[in-house]
Amino acid sequence: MSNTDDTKKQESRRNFLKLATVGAAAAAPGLAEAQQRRGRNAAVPAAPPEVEPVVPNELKNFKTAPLPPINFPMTGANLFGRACLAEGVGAMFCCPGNYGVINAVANHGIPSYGGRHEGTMVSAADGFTRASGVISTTSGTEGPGFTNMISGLAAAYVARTPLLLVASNMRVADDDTERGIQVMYQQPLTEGIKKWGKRLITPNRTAEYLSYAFRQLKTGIPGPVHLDFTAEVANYRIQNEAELGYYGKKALYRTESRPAPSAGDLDRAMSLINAAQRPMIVASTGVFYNKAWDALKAFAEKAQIPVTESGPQFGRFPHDHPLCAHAAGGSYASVDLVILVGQYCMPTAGEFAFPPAAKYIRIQPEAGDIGRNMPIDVGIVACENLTLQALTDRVRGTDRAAWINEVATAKRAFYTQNDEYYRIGKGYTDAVHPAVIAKELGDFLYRGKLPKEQTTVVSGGYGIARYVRRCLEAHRPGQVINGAYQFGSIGPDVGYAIGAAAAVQLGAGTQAAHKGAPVVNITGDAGFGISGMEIETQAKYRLPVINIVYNNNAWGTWNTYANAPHALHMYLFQENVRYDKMAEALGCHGEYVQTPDQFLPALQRAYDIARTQNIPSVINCQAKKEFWLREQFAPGFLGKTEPGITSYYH
Amino acid sequence: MTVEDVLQGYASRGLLRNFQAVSGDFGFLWMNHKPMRLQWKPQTRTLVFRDVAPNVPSRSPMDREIRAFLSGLASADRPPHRRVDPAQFELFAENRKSQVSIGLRLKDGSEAEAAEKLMLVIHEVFLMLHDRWLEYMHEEFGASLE
Repeated sequence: MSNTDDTKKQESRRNFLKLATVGAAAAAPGLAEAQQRRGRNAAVPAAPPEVEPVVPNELKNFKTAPLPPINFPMTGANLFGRACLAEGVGAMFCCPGNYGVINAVANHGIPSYGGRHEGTMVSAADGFTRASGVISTTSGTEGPGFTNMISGLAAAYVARTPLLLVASNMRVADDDTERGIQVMYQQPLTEGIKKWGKRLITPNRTAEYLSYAFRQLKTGIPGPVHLDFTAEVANYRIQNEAELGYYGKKALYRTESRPAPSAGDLDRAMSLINAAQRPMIVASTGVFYNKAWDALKAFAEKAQIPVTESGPQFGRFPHDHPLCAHAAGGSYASVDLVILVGQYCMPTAGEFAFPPAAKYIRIQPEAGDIGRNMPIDVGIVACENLTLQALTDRVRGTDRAAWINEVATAKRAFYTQNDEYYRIGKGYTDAVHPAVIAKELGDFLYRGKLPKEQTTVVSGGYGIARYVRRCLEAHRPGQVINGAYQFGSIGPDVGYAIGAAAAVQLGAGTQAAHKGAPVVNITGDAGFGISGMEIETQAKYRLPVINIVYNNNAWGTWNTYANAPHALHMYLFQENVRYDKMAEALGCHGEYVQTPDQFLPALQRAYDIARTQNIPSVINCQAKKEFWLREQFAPGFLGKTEPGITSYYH
Repeated sequence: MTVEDVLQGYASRGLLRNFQAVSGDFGFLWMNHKPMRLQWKPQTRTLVFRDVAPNVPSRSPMDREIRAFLSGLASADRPPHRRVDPAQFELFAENRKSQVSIGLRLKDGSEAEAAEKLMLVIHEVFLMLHDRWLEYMHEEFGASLE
């Protein structure tokens, strides 16, 4: 070995040591710059041995550990955990903080998931409940942990999701000081984005206020509840059962009774139904949370009335049913009677495609919202399930063959248009067009080897959603989660997928029959940039999510400002960002799809890995932003019709 | 039934707001916050939504698409309740200074039928614009871009 070689080796070792002293965060470009500054071409240090993320034993084995005994005297936090268990809370999604409460929930055996960001964990809880119909809880620490949760709470509120948001808070004794850190009032910040909330400040009334919370979660039009646990309440020690009074027993503080429709209301509804030639049912949120899908099917079939859907999840009526009008948007302007069932989020005139002459029946369990935004002809204040059963008893079989045929024709026209979009999209070979993802994903899920009712899908993203949701089908309740519903959030999709996948993993509620199946999440690069780090949470809990990232290097609205060079840069990202490599670094499987023909094989590989190893994937679909420009790349950015398959506003 | 009767019916049901009627000239709010104006001229038996689509340059792609859409409404393969029957009504669009008006000339149909039919036509035109011209609807009518 020559002296020259020895010198090079020593330089190399010296450089490696210098690099090491910079710290673990030192990056290769930084080293290259340092070498350039020294004015010589130093040798590149030897690459460290490749390591991969590992799931530690503490994560692998915790489910087999015995639960600790929790007896009186117990803390306020443990009382909360006990109440969650008694009320059937299906899961908790949280970040560390609010320690007493989250440990209490976990120690009561409620499936618990810890993530990276409180906002995404709220979305996970929302996704869990939207997919399963089972209430969930989410927790964050006081101060910034809590404020991180606000956007997710707002999305849950407009979706009418019954989730329980809890956050710790500092001592009441320190109110209005800045002793230590994070002293703040939380409830004013969630005003207008919760169904009910309470700052818990009276330790010996904790059980009473928990009964308020669960009454709100379990009755009427659902919505999120926000509790903030001051330190005095979380740490208070309850001595015995007697101290709880009757608030320790749910049968004493709330009822399962539901309001039944009045005979007069049913008569008025029946007279409109009997007179209608082209009626349509809009099955929405209330049908899902009241488990009214069987009653809906019985009523629709007996009355021969087509059904479309709206709301934060789909599948209340099977999409391959002959009466399903979910994809028949072209027929909506023919409707003469609209029967809104559990349509809690109400559009204004012109937002639903039904014509101005259409009459409206609206069925929901609370009167306070009936008549908001749209005039109604008959309002029925009653449980959706009981009302549909009562209508089925009264309705007569009617021949509506011509109308059903018109709906079927509109459906065929919609699917023909999808096929045409696919044909055009497949012709763009230098990037992946969204029509290719939409059609091939739909064929894979519903017309291939998989049972069509198996796979739960989170339909998120912005521009990509307008293609993909056209090809999604729901054959049972909770199969499709309508991610951006009403609040239009860009970013929570990975969180929704965590919740939906947890529901499937646990077989919770409507996901029971498909326990353990892979879940598909469609999102965009803008949204993935906000919450993509949570794929580490998916990997950590072995949630088999196939995350399809539509990567067009831009925020979805970029095209509106395409001719404004001083503004445009704000709407763009670096091109060809490798989200797939990020996925691999975080313990997931990664695929980079650059041409249309690569998509389906990548989807199959990701699915196989999800099914056999429970490992999540990121399929990074490289598109280009110009696909939104109709004049250059037909069909361009797509519009939508509401309600139905393309809807997400109401 | 007159045109006014039909429109008054919609106003009474709450679908039209701020309804005003002055000598065959009707004003109201309907699907957005922009006032709409409907004119009935009994002499020519013409019913027109005046300037219903503003800022659409003549012979622009959008102008052509609106006209093509209106032509399609007369197609024989449409169901009768969605069809503008050319034997009864002539459906037309005018573009003056980039303001598109849409109307019906009555041939055989009644004015009440014309009013019902034109309300449905305008409803369908707005559905088409929401579907195809999202940015336009955002700029002109305040529709959400997202």
